[in-house]
Order: sequence, then C-alpha cells, then structure tokens
Amino acid sequence: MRIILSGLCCLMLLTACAAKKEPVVPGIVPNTAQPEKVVKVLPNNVIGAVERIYFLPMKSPFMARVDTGATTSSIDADNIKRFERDGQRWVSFTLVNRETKEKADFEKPLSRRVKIKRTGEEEHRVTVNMDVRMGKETFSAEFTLNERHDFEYQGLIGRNILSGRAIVDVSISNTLK
Amino acid sequence: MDGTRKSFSILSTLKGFFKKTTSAEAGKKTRDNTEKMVLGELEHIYLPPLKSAFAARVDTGAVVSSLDAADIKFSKTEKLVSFTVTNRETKEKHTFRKAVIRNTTITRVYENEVRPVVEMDVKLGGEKFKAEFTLADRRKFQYQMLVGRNILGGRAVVDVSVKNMLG
Repeated sequence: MRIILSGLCCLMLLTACAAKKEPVVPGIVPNTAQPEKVVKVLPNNVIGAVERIYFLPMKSPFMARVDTGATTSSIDADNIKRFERDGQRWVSFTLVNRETKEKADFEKPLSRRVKIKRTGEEEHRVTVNMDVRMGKETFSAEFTLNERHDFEYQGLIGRNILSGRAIVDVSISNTLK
Repeated sequence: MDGTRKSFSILSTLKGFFKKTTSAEAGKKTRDNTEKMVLGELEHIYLPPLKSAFAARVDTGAVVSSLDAADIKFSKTEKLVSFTVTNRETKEKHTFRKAVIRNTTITRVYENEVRPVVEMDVKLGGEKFKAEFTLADRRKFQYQMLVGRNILGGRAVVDVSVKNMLG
C-alpha cells in the first residue's frame, strides 16, 4: 500500500514539475490575443501614398503626401500675411503649383494657430479652411500653411481629411484623378 | 487524472507556438488587397525579447520605421551598434546589439541628423517579421515607435478612424 501511495506521489510530483514548464504569460502585456485583422479592401475608399488634390478654384492639382502621422493637413504657400478685417483675424497667401506654375491668391479667416512638432522641434503655423477636391469628393478641410518649399510634395493629407473618408495603402499611388 | 490533463495542455501550447511561427514566414509582398491587415492610427507593437507592448504611431509619411533608443554606442569599426530600449510604461528594458545596415538622415527643421538603421524582430497585428528601424530619440514624442512605409507596404492598409490600442 505504502509503495503504491509513494509511487503515486512521485508521479504527481513529476507531472506537477512538467506542468510548471508551461510558458508564463506576463501580466504586463495589455492584450495577448491580437486577432489578425484581414479585410476585403474596397477600391472606392482606398488611396495611396501620394495623391492629387485640387484647391478650388485652381485648375491644376497639387501632389500631396498621404500622411497618417500628421494630425492636420498642410499646403506650401507663399507670402503668408496676417491681417485684421472687421475685428476678425484673416490670412492672405498665394498658392503656386510647382508643376504648372498656376498661381492663385487667397484670403481666408484664420482658423487657428498650431504648434507643429517635427522630430521634436516646435514651430508655429496658421491654419485656414480650404475648399478642396480629391477624386470625386469636394469638401472643406483645415490646412496648415507651410513656408518650406523643399519638401518632395507641396501638399500633405493628414488625419483630419483621412479619418472616416479613406484608408491608405502605401503600396499604391496616384489612384485619384 | 490532473497530471494527464496538464500534459495535454502543454502539448497544445507547443503546437500553437509552432503554428504561429510558420504562418508568420508567409511572404508579405505577395499579398493582394484582400489579405492585408487593417491597422489603425495607433497600434501595439512588440520588440522581442521585450514582453511589454509599445505604443506605436502608424505613419504612412515615414519612409522607415523608427524606435526610441538610448545609450547608442558604436563598435570601433562602426559596423555594430548597441542600444537600450526601455518601455516607457512598464520600464521593462533591453540592450540590443545589432549590425548597422546603413545610416539615414532624419530631416529636421534646422539641422539634419544622421541616425543608424538596424534590423529588428517585430510582432505587429499578430504577425512576426523582421523590419528596419531607425534608432531615434523619441523622448519628446507621445509614442515611442513609428511604423513607417517599410513595414506597411504590401502588408497593411491604414484606417485612421480606428485606434487598435487597448488600455
């Protein structure tokens, strides 16, 4: 009897030891079960890494980087000047299309002033609402006015335009006409 | 018997582990749009062997992905680099030693910065793969990691109306 009991104890000890070798799930990991999200992507609302955008009423489209890392969209502008009209803050500026040289002057109420963080450094910019067209959609969106003209593309499409409107596939470009 | 049940669960855990590894090896570039992951504006990313998740901004504007690295030290030949990655929330840290693939220039407002690029093991959206990362100083940024086009291209599409981050 005792031999059987001690034998059983040894067996349980061994299996207990074997059980301890199970991988430990660390408690600090917030979400261990990450199901792979796979979706059938509809052609209508997928845009690429670079797209065309029209700033109405200009006829030539501007090339823009589609940037999910940017909170607000932006456009390269010249002669950015702030002024007052009827006690309200306004901004005047010029857009010049790099490819076609088409030029247009704009006067817009100042939407707000933003702080831009580019790799840790901060800068202040003005933002205005622009009437734009992308593909078949015409809408109004906030744009920060940049004075830097050395970026690869003049326009930048940020999350304020993208959210709820399009999803981005960086393996394609220029899907919009 | 309890012991037998436990042994079976060990076996199934091992089986599951091996299954995950082989599916992760499936080439990412061969995927068409029907098989791509949908990533949100922000995602959890893992850098093995660190066990805690890092908060990452999914950034289609970034050519290469970027990670928050400290104590960056080069070997004499400058072919190897060691650096420490510390999880801001959990304080879990690990020192990596990696081969320097190349150096890249980060565009800054006033002065450009040259940074080393290394290859890291990554786990994102349930997938395991290797990807290039720039070793950057992201202390001033809300998120320690940037997932750039080198990871996204051919693998995922980005829907910024979604934030796949829990907690």
